[in-house]
Amino acid sequence: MPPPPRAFGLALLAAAWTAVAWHANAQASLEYSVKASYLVRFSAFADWPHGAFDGDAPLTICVVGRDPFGMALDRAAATQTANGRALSVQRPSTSDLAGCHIAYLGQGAVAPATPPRAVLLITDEAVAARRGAIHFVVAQGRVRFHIDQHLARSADVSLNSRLLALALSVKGG
Amino acid sequence: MNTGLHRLIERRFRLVALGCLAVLLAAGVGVAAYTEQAARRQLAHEAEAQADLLSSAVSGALAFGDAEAAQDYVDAVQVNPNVVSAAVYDVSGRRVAAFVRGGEVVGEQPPARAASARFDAGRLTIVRPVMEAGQHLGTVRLRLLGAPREQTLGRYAALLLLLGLAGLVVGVLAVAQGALRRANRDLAQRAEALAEANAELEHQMTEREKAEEALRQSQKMEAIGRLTGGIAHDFNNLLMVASSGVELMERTEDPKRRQALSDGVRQAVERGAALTRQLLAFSRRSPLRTEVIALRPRILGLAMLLERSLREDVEVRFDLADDLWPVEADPGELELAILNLAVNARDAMPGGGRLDISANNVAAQEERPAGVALLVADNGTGIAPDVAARIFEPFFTTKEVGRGTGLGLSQVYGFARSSGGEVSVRSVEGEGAVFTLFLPRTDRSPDTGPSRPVAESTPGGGKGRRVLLVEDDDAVAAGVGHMLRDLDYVYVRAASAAAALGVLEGPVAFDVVLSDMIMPGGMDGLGLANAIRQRRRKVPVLLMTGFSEAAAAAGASGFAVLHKPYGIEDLGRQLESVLTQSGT
Repeated sequence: MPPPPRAFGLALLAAAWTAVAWHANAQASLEYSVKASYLVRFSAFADWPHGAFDGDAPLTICVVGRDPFGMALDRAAATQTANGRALSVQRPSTSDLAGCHIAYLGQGAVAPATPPRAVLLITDEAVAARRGAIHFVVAQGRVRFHIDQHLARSADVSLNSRLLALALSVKGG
Repeated sequence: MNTGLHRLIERRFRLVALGCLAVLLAAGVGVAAYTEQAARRQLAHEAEAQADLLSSAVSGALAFGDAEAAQDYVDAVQVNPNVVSAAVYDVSGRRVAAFVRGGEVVGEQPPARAASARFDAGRLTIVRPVMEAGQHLGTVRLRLLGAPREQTLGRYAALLLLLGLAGLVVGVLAVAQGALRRANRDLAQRAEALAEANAELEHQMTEREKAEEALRQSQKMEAIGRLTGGIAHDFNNLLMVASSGVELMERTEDPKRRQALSDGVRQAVERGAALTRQLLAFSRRSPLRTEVIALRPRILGLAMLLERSLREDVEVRFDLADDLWPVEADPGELELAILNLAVNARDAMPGGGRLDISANNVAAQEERPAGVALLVADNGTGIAPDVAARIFEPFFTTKEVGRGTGLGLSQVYGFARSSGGEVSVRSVEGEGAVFTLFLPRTDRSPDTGPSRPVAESTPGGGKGRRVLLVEDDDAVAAGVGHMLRDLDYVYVRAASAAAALGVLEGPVAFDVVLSDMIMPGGMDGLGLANAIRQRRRKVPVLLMTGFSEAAAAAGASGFAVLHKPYGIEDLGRQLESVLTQSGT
């Protein structure tokens, strides 16, 4: 006896959904892999004020809130250094950014009212519209970013001009 | 300069020239290599700086995957025309941006991470890692033309130009050296030619001197030849006197008459002897030599020759001032000139006439200095004016063929000019002619010949001493033998020099040898005298001759000479003199 057509249609729909979902998943995974790599690269294009590091302490990249990168960020950071400093990835449970040099605000993270000193605050269009010193966007299928020099300067972090040249926009240049 | 030195210089020059070229070439190659290296270094340096700039510029674009930005930076590199390709690779080796000029390739393969600069196949490849704060972001590869063609060409052109110039300089030097060598050779050749010409000239001058001397001699002989008729006539008269005297002496026994006759014969013989002596002296071949002459005795010395040689129908008169100034001239030539003028006058008086020879001092006038005018005047046919203008030309003669050569008056003219004087003629046709020979006076006084010491003669002073008489002519030998006997000498006669030497080798010793000079056979009197002098130094030799040249030769060799013809007194005196000098 042939299967009932309705059940067959449902099965087909489910399969299509699954395929689409996998695809979207794959896309999202690539996007965050790029972003993770960018987070690591930013360390090379920014300068922190004196006293931001204790001796040979590593440069710390903090992911606040929900972590979208998984092991991709750890893998990217593990192989790189910045000005001779090792990179470490922290995932603080609170929104306290103390000890962070680069801070990515993920889902659920609370942006600080005043930009904390010596922290390069990075926000993501995909998480919230509110912008940090660097704000990830996806434009024409590529991961790009906006830069807010005001915020960077008020955090006492100076950004490399080559980085500025790649930004979609620079606020307060 | 000798050719060896020439060749050495030549070879050395070539060596030096080649050496210079080699050094220049080496220097050129060295400079080229050095500039090439320097240019490469400079190029590499510039290219590395450019690659550094690019790697630094694209770091951001590579870090954040911005291929467009990377491409912008890469494109900016194109401004440099020497860049043939540029490429940017990301950290995973993927080519992010690139540009390639036509005909060039860009490596698809990512380069090694290490920085490098490498010349390969005319291209300079620079590889630079892209680093940012120690993070390796990718690699940049830049390819450039190894050496920009124009620059290389320019460099080599300058070098070639330099080498060309150096070669040109060396070439020009070589050519100049060659020209110099040729010029030297030409100069040497010319000098040689000049030397040859000079030698030829000297040779010709010698020949000319010889010819002139021969001419003078022939002029003398011609004059004598023209006198011969008169002289022969005179001799005939003398012989007539002598032969008739001897004949008459044989016929008479009267001592007084015989004495008178023998005196007449002796006088005739003495006159003949004087005449021949003068002729011989005159015809003597002697070099042209000027000396200071006292004219009066010199002309009077010619008197007898003139009187005897001119025809009997010609009367010769002398009118010579007593205080004539001395003149400077060749005496032989002077006598010849007077003789020529006299003979010329005689020929102008075919029907007889008078010849006046006069001389007087002439004070200085205008351009003419003071001197003596010697006038030879005749009252013959005179000279036509058109002939008068030409009489001093050589070979000009009015006489028929065979009677005159036309050299007589030209000799007078040549003598006058060479003595610093002049000769002129004044004539009225039909009334005779006057030749005036002017000779400038000299401040020097006439030479007086060295006085010969004359030994005291004692006829009959032979004291029985032995004489070897060498004489080829039997008649002369007999005559001289009579004289020797009369002088109380004992003599032995030899007919030739060889015979005389044979006699001298014999047992009989001789006190003196009396020898004729001109003899047939291999040895003459002078040769004999020399041979005796070498073998038996102690035997003195007295030579006798009628030839003045032979006498001169004997005198030059240091032998005493007796001039033929001579009398018994002369013979005795000379023998005594020779014996006294030799100490026997």
